[in-house]
Amino acid sequence: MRSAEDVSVVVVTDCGSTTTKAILLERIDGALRQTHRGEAPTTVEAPVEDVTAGVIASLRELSDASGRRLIDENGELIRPARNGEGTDLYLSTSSAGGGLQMMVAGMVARISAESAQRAALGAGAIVADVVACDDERPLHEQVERVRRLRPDMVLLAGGTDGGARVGVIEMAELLAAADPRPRFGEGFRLPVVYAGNRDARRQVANVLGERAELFAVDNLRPVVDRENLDPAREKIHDLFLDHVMRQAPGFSRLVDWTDAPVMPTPSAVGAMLEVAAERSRRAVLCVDIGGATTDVFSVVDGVYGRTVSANQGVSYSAANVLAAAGREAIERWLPFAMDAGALRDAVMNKTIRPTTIPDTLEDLLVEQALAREALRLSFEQHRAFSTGLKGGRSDRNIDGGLVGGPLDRSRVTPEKIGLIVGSGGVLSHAPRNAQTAAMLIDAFQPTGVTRLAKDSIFMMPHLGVLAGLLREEAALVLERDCLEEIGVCVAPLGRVRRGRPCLSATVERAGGRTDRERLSGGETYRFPLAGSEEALLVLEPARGIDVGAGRGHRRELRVSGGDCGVAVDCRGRPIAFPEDHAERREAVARWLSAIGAYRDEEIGA
Amino acid sequence: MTQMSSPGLEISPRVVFSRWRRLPVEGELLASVGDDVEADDVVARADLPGPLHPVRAAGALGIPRAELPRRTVVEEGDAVEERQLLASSRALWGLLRSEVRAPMSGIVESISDVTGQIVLRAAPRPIELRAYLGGKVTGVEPGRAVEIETSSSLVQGIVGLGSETAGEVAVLAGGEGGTLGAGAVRSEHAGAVVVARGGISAEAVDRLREVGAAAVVAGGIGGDDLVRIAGREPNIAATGDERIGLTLILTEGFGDLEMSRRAFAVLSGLEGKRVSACGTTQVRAGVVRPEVIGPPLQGEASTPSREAALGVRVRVVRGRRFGATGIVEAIPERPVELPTGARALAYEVKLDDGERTLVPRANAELV
Repeated sequence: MRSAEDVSVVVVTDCGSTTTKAILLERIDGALRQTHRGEAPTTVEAPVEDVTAGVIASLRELSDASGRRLIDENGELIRPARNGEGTDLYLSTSSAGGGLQMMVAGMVARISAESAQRAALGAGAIVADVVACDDERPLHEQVERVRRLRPDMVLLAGGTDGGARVGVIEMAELLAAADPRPRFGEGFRLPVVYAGNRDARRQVANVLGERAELFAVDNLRPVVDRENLDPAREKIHDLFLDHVMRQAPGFSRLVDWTDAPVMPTPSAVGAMLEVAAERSRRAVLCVDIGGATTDVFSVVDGVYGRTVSANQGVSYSAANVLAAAGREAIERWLPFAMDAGALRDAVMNKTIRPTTIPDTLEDLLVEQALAREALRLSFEQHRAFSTGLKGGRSDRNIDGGLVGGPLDRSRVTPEKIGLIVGSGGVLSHAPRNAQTAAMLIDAFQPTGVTRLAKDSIFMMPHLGVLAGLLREEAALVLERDCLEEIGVCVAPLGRVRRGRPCLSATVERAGGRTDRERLSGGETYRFPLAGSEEALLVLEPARGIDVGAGRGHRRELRVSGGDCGVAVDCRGRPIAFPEDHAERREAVARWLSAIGAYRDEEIGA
Repeated sequence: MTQMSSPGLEISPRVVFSRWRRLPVEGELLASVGDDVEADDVVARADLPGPLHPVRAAGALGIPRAELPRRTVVEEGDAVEERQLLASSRALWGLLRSEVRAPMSGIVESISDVTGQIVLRAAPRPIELRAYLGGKVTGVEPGRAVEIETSSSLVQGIVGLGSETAGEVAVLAGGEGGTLGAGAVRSEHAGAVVVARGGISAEAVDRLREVGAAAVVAGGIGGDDLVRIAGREPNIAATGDERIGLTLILTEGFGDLEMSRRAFAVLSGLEGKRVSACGTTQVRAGVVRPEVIGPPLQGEASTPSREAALGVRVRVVRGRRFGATGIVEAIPERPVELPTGARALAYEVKLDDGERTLVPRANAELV
């Protein structure tokens, strides 16, 4: 680890799929603080086809903003930091060109293939497809699919050590026959990481050896009841850098510039989240909702998990969200009636013109309704994926089939989550933080007492790669400069019945002012409380209602607020909507007004 | 926050550009550098490998996998016919014979003593690559691609379905606007690239499919109608593989939208002329727009502005004034507050109908 004292200036870039963002960190009063930022379009695609052009452009923006010259006359980074110029450290993350795209193959879809998918996602990849011996698709269809894909690399797994070999060799033969070509580097062999039965390594090498660049690592499922994902994850990381990044336009130059390996953006976010969870000693959920994909990260019960919902996003994937969620699911979040055809047209037009922005309130409400559904679907996928291991004795019925629904067994449950962090344009750049809070609450439907925050600049990847060298410093920047506290959500569990007493909430502020409100089922209320203000929150639930201390049990805790203050949500879980459409719209308008997302006159509340 | 406006779609009566025409697999080029080609000329051909079909032969024969090679009567590389014997075994002291026969014609790709599979590859499918553009061959990649430089008319749309096609342009209903119904379609539209100035209905598209039109280019279509035509929810962010009976190109988007004057002027100028059209659309990671390409027309060649400046023409592509055009009168340096409460960079635009309005830069297409 680098010594913190040696470092007074750090520059970090994240090369996103459309934008390269640069941040400047400077040591002020002994601590690193984020002081300035700059951004420029990412330049991986034609006509520029050199990622470093976009990096340099973003660093020039950063120089303009900060007054610190970073690039010399020869277009090189100035190092070290001296006389108000240059930097001591330069780091970067990347998801440019779509990031790391992988294909995963296993023997059994819900055992080895699922573990392999977790390894790939944990390494920061987008998993383009998963094939398995027990795939529903006929083999020739799988082969065609594999041939059409152009992944950056393949992860092959299957069979416990000393166990079955045939299935994983069958998958290797399928891969060999399909002969997938890598996305970058025409003429290069596709990297394949083999993380299955060690007894099958030789035969897999015989099958794939000439068609692919094969790397064998420890079995990621050595026995059915245990996962060992780290060796595969680390190999994927290394290969991402050596094989994938170096083929992508300009990346070999970028890799030479940085003082630590370039990380895939989602891996860096995950790294920072683990630090945050460790420091706060709470389960953390983080979501980054983009135009095309939504990443969900969690650290729950000390276990890190990540999923990428590749078809859930608010611009390029907007039409997919409509298709997956259905029109009614989106309409239910609107406080006004909208012609069904007009809603579909609006969503589809956003898909084909993804960079346009809403310029009417109606348009904004539709986009935020869409975002709620994209987040909800992505969270469901994340929960379904974050389960205990399948395949062990306790998971099988008498005939040996796997049992148990995925959400029943999910490690990630709303009542465990202590902090939700939102990122991505629709959340970070909502005109009011209360709108961000409303989207997070409606989508994730947290229970108990949950803090809400946003990462406006999306600095998490930058801090994640920094954490690899300066862990404590990165954590402090996260708390002080990255996360903006929006407020607190209080939501009871239990039999919440419309119109019946649900909960009494009291906020006792430091200055002595006390507010108290009694809520019935279906109601919502907001206590104003600034982010800098702390208060004692006292919750007295009705019988059968649980606010995190057991049914009917009172709970006291200290909280600080944010723009949204303390939002109390007695709509029930799942949120119960009135069946009558007009009543539903009125209820939605009241909720949006109560939380401060919209003024009454804006939405007719 | 976006600083840039959307670059406009390419719409020009006459523009010079180059395009690579690529085979999906290695093949044979039929044109060389310097050759003049027409749009319908075949410039390359190849054999597309047939699909693979694994046969679980050892399992079917009831034998250990390692024994399969001894039981096969064909070898890797052999051509086989459908129902041809691939492998056999005998059991019960030779009394019972099991056989595995080829489910289709093809080539034996592999015989595995580990998995017990015989993998067959179906016969290759010959494909031909049209030039698609009229022009001169200016470059080749041996066995893979030719580059053609062309001076052509070009109309890009915003979204399409379906792949490459060609036909003569026919303008429906005399070039009037409004949503076109099925009554405007006639049997002589068979094989044509039909142009509708306004929106088009699902019924009109159905009728066009019935008469065998090659393509339809319209201002807009209702999203519900598009789903009905496609028979499912199409992924409109990445299209081109749809088989909907013709190629569909929208110049404006979804809803009852009228084609821009510029686009209609070029397309109606192509009436009676043979054009190439393609509905393939990709909204990100290398944007691809659907297009109509035809012979060059008289008239001023124009390309959309790349930089916003005073006096530049813009088109509103979202919101209340979707489709309206006007002139940029001022470019405020600082973000302005929108009715949504958000702040964004915007243009002050005087629209052609005289209204003055603020248009977020992200919602203005440079024309």
